[in-house]
Amino acid sequence: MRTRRRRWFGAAAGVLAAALVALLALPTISLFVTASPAGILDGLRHPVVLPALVLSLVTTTVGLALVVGLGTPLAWWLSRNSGGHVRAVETLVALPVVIPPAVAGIALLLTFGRQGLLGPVLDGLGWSISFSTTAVVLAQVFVSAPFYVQGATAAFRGLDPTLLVVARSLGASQARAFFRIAIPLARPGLFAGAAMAWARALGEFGATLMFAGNLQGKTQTLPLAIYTALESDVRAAQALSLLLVVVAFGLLLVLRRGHR
Amino acid sequence: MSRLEATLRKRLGAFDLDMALDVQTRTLAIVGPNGAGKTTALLTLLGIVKPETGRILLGGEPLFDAVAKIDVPTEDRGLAYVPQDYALFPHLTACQNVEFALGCLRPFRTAPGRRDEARALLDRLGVLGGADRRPAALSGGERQRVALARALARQPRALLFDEPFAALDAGVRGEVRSTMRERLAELDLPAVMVTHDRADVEALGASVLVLEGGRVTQRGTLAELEARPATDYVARFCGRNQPDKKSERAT
Repeated sequence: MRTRRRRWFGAAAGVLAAALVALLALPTISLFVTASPAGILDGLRHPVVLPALVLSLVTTTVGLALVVGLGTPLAWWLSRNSGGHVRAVETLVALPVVIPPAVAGIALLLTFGRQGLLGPVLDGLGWSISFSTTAVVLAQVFVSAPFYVQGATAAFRGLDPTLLVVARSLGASQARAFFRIAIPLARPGLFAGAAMAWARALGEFGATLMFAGNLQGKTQTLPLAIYTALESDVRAAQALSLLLVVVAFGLLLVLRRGHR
Repeated sequence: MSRLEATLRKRLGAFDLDMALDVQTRTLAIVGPNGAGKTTALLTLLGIVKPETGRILLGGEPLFDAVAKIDVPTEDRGLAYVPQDYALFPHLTACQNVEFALGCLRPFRTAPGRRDEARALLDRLGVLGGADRRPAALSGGERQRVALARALARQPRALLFDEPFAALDAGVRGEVRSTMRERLAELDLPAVMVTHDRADVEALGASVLVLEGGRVTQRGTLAELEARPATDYVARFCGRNQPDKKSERAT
């Protein structure tokens, strides 16, 4: 009686779990099985492809440099301190993860746009950010920085504090202890955080569309190019999608290997 | 003449750390039950924990003075700290661990010069064989020697040890203790050692400071403590590891 009930439970759980796995895997599989090599090559020749690829590579590289350059000191500070103000900053930093991308786009417009909070200041400097490549980078930084900061903070918190005390006692300045001990030991976590942030930036769509627009060669990144190509040539949209999936999957494999 | 003197008061969670110590070339052992503030005392000497009031002098120069508002940063105090698990940098080889300390001392020295100096130090402590291995591939005794070599590379003016033998197998403990006694005798520097074990005190011929609940409950030589234990803890500490002495006599 009892074994039969247990068997029933196991079977039900297995079916439900398999349903979700299928739901998650099928769309990606369809991307591949409905494509033909000739179709992919044809699709990649579409005029939106090359400018978007270049723009995505440039903006995500600049964005990642900004995220790592600004996020590492922040993560270090978060990991070395505690208290209400630290938790408050951590919550603020996590906010972009839960904000819908379209809302992020509006928020960025209302900050950096001509009518925005900093609009008059930027206007005075003769700097128009919205609907420029700078806006693309800003949108990517906004949505992707939390992934890096959270990963880096966790990596720094995982360090044995005694190692840093010993480094200081040996005569190392705070900077030397940071660069020679903390950074090398936290490196796997920093890399994982940077990879997640980069993947999020590469896929960024909503905030970019609202805040930067969809101008070929200027603000049209790969996801926006997919959206544009879909109207004229499904094969181009599919080819670009495959490209992004392959990149994302490669990144996942590298991260998985790093965790082992 | 090297001398480490300190009077400290630091508010901790459940109690205040309130102690004075004066160490010359005879090693001082700080003993006491868990949570008595022993490690905090070392971290305060190091400048990692900041006391509310007090003064720390090394060779007559102030490292900390609450009244004169002097607070020398940890890296400039000239105190070598060897924590309980030795805290060797896990991403560096034994040799690179020592080179790290040499590099802090003389940042502009060429790398090959540093390497030779590090190897010479490891050789002096008898662990040259492990020079190119990472800490994870060293035995407990080897780690302790590498940690000592790294601490000496810093050319310290005083040494601080936290439970230097606790992480070792009982089998090698005796041997490592005698190495350490020889080194300390050679160096002729003030040394402070936190320990639980009266055998450590005996091996290093240390004088004892008993810390209980942040306060000094007794100080003196092991013989003096044994003759007149001031608290139950001291009586138990003296009685431990002494099968020839009946514990009933102590209690």
